Amino acid sequence: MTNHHRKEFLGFFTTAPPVGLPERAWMWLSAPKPKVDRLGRPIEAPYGLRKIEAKLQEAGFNAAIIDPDHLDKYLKSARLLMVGHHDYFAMNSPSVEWWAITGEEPVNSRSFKRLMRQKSIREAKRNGLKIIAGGPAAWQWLWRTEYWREFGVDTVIDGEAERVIVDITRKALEGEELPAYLYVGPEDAPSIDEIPEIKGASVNGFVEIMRGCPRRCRFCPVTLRPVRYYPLEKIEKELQVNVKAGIRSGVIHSEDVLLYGARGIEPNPDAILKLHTLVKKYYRTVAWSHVTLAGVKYAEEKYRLITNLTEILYDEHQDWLGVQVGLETGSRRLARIIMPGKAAPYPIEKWHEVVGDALAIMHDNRIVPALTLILGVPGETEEDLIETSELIDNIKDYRSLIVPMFFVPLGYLKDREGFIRDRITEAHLEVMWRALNHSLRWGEDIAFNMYLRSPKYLPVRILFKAFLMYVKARVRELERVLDEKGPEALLPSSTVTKNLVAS
Amino acid sequence: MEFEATVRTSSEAYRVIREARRNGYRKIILYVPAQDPAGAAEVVRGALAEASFLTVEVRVMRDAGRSNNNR
Repeated sequence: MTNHHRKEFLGFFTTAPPVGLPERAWMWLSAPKPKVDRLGRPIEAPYGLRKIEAKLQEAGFNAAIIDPDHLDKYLKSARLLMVGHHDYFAMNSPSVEWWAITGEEPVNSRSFKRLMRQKSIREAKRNGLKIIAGGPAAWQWLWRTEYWREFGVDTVIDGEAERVIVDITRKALEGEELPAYLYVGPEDAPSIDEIPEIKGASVNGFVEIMRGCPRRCRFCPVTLRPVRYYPLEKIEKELQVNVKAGIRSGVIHSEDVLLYGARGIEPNPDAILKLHTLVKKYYRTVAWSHVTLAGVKYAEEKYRLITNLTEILYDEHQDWLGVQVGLETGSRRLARIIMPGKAAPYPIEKWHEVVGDALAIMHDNRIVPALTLILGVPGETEEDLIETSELIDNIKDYRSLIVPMFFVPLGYLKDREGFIRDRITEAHLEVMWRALNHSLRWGEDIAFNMYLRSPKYLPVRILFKAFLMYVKARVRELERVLDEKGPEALLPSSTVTKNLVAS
Repeated sequence: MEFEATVRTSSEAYRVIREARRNGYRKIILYVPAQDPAGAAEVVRGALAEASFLTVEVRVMRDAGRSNNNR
């Protein structure tokens, strides 16, 4: 459990093994230990856990989030241990790529296994402790049943749990038979009234503003669930909880922040402006979790909304804004198949134009996107990847990071090396290479002139600088290999790559 | 509306889930003869992708003598 130095993006480093640094330094950089109270309760905890904690407390259970380092003292008397994780076994992107490329297990998975193997949990389990696992990576237990058995997990809950968690907890405490696995379908998604407000502060001042998304991308489970908007009063209560804990910066979360209060995909400028005015009343600096590129272009061109929102947000505390954005693919053919609604209200055929225009608007307004790409989608062709490479070239002048992620079919998860060996092609390497160069070019500017520029981040800056130097040195090595032997030398089956990775 | 069934194999799980979807059920309870929760998960996991529009509860059936008929 960590607040990533209150820098959400540093959390990405937990998805990798320690590269070029000792594990302790890597963990300190990406996942420092959280501050806790005298009972071992973290001052800031992951938002999802806070929701479950609040639901259980409201139902009268004696439930609390405990930092893993302080669990021991409770395990002698605890009857139920609930665990949540973003990526239990490093099966999500980009953990899966890091693992495959480096041959080393990422630190997120290592640290979770270390926790579950500690003696106190094993002893408590022998004495009747029940264990329930959940969170956004709950599905991974289905494909890692060896750990399900080893750690003695009784139940796995997958999906929005607010409607079901109280009943399951009661059953666990009363010794009733528990389900092995529960997937909460869209019909059982909780209503806004069933979702409690958090009672303790969330990591990075994270506050949800809505759930669901109307864009219906084929690869995204969120679109299966109904769209629900939090009323401003509910959002304000959570902001107050965070401010009370001393948190004055935060992330507002939605699959597309610009759709808050929207009618379908038509923005509701009044609702969005009121939302940002409210959030800025409590937070000195604000980040968005996600927006869509079409949403940015449309909101600015029709309502001048981006300009108006940055006028609300920017002041003496903040002069830029970070956000994660799904670029997904540069292939218009593939986009039409996997995300026909992503460019709406523009036709998906204009995807490159939408991307370019939106990034220009973001660049001008000092909004910095981390653009995620999906590679390896079933049916992807070399032409699709060439189009993606071209798109990366077209956006080279816009301040952004590009993070390629592989679509990983579940059947491959047991054999990561097989996955890489079978699926990465020269065209993938070309896309990844261009993305890496783009991110290195802009990453330094973003890190040192924006993200980590405050003097208090000096130690993080020094470590990050060392990491960048290491990456650049490796990139130069790889460039030399590319010049001498061509792109096929970098394919994972090649001994050249193996030697480079191992050295 | 809930649909309950006992499934012993992955293909049975596929069949039952498809049937539940076809008949408009919103929740399905699958009883799986298994030694432990992980064993039950191993039987049904491949079929769960078919069930993303349903709520699915998987229960371990430790009593091997239980009926295999849909419940």
